[in-house]
Amino acid sequence: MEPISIEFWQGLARGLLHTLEPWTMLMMMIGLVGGIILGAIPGMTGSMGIILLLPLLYHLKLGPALVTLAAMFCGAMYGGSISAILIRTPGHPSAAATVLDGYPMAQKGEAGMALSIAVIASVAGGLLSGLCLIFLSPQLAKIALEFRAPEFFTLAVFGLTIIAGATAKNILKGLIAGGLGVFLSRIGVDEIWGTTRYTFGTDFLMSGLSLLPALVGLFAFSQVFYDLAKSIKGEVVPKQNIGRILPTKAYWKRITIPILVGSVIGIIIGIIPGTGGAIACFLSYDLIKRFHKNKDEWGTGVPEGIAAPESANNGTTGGAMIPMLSLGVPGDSVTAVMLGALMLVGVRPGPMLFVEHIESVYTLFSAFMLMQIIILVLGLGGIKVWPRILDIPQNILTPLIVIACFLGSYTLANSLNDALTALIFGIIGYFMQKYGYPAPPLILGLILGPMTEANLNRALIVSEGSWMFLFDSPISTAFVIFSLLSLFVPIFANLKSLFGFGAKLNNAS
Amino acid sequence: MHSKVDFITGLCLMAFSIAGVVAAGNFPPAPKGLAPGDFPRAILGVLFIFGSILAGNAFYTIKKKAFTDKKSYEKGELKQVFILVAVIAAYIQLLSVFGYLLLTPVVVFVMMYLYGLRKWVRMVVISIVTSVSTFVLFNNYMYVLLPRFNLF
Repeated sequence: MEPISIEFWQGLARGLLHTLEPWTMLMMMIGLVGGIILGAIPGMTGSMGIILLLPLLYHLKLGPALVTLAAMFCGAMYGGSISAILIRTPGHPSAAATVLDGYPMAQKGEAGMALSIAVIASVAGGLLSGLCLIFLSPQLAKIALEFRAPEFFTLAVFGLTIIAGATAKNILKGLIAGGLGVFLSRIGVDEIWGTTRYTFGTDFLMSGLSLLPALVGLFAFSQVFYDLAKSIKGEVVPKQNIGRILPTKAYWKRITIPILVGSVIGIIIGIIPGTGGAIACFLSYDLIKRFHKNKDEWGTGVPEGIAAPESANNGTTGGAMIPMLSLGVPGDSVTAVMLGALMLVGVRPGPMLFVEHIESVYTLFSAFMLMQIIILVLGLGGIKVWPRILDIPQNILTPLIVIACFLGSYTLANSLNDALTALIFGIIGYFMQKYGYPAPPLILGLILGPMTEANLNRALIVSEGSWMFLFDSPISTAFVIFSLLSLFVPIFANLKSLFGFGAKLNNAS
Repeated sequence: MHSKVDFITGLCLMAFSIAGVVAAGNFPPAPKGLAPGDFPRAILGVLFIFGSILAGNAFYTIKKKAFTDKKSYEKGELKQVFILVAVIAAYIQLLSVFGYLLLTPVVVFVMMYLYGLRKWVRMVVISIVTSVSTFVLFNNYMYVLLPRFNLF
């Protein structure tokens, strides 16, 4: 690993100056506040937040666009803890472990304290993962610059296998979704030979299926349909006593180690493509509980039970962005959507991002650290305000989201066909969700399909038809081994129930 | 588990794969490397195998009567989803005739009604304010030409 150059620090300083520009700050605030609001509403996720931001993103330069996306991701990750603590319903699966001790603590009249521990842990996790993002991703990108067709092909296969295996309770369904995504990405004109494939003679399909309508349909429309039944039931939100806000000295002593451990777990889990916050939060919760003196207290509202999962799930944010930015392979479902959003803005994340758009990357790095501080201020300052998010009636919010979905899919090409395609993907996504087929592998298949075929073709042409190119370099060999491991380890884990938290994860989500 | 649904899905996936492979037979060959039909054929082959495993597993579960196929959705829920899909589809189709500004308030109002809201004044105000504000934002500031009223 090369020592960090003075240019790098100068770049970070320039990035900070770009971040402090009014327009970038405004977009960061929109991302953060929007993320906290969407994260706090059960059923609304960071992925949906990014989709709703799409019409805005088209009009942004790359730097502010990256900052807005990251802000939405971090804000939503923190926001999920609000509903987990106050109404025992995690805003998203990554906040599921926070329910276990957060809600009992709120019931004891310490909702303010629980929320402040959550925000402090989230910020600590975010800051530590931000440091990893800043120092690891450029190094990884430098290595990736040496990649040729065989490495890119095996990397794409690795990305497909790992997200299919890790995001699904049923690995077969994850693989089917991923395979379908790859197949759908091949509709249109073949990039190398110029042959039209599966277009059925229509002009609309000649340029292939657009990624944007698929994103809007699978992540936003489908959720709207899925939540329809819940909103009709009209669930009543219980009120909690906020009480004291800042943690006492005794609480600080108890949460420091769990925060550090949770952050490290979150970063490591986040870097592994296809994993994400839900796994990290339960893993850190279980680990801290295992080494705790009074295990029986857990589940009754102990501060460690909030600090460990919250630092872990925010630790995944920076971690998940490392492979997304430097390799073009997302770390979890939100970064998969983020990757798609960046491609729509006209940028393909990967090693070339660090060559062609390095100033924007520096802006993201600086902004990522700054946004953690802003989350702390917003989180602590708004402890009495954020619970009101839960009062927003879903029967008002959802119709507005439908219109935002329409606008998001329409604005790409001012095309009603795109809006209609988004609706079709929404119906597909609804049934996929209903029957346990995860959407992220399908999106990843759509993104990685072209990269897989084009690089396989190039590698085969260069090697004159020999498949030994897979083992010509240590990197491609390593990716082949990782791909096999990523396929077979989850199968083995499911068989043996290797992870004790698996049952809890399933119950909570 | 949704054994019956999985069984049907597996069969459909197998049929889909076969149809795709047959269609790929029309693609021309390539002088070297992958021909245009090779990669789709490989993916469809893998999907065929996955489909057969899915259908096979589901069939075994059904035969053993070991499945707990709950009624995974109430008819009412599916009806609501169908109505909402129909409303959105009609909205997209009619936009080129009635335009965004005329049609959107009506659709937002209908959707709020579908979602169980019955506060009429609030519904009217929200529908109009949302439609006008998004129209102004997109049209005037983001330069996105939203469909306008165009009977002919």
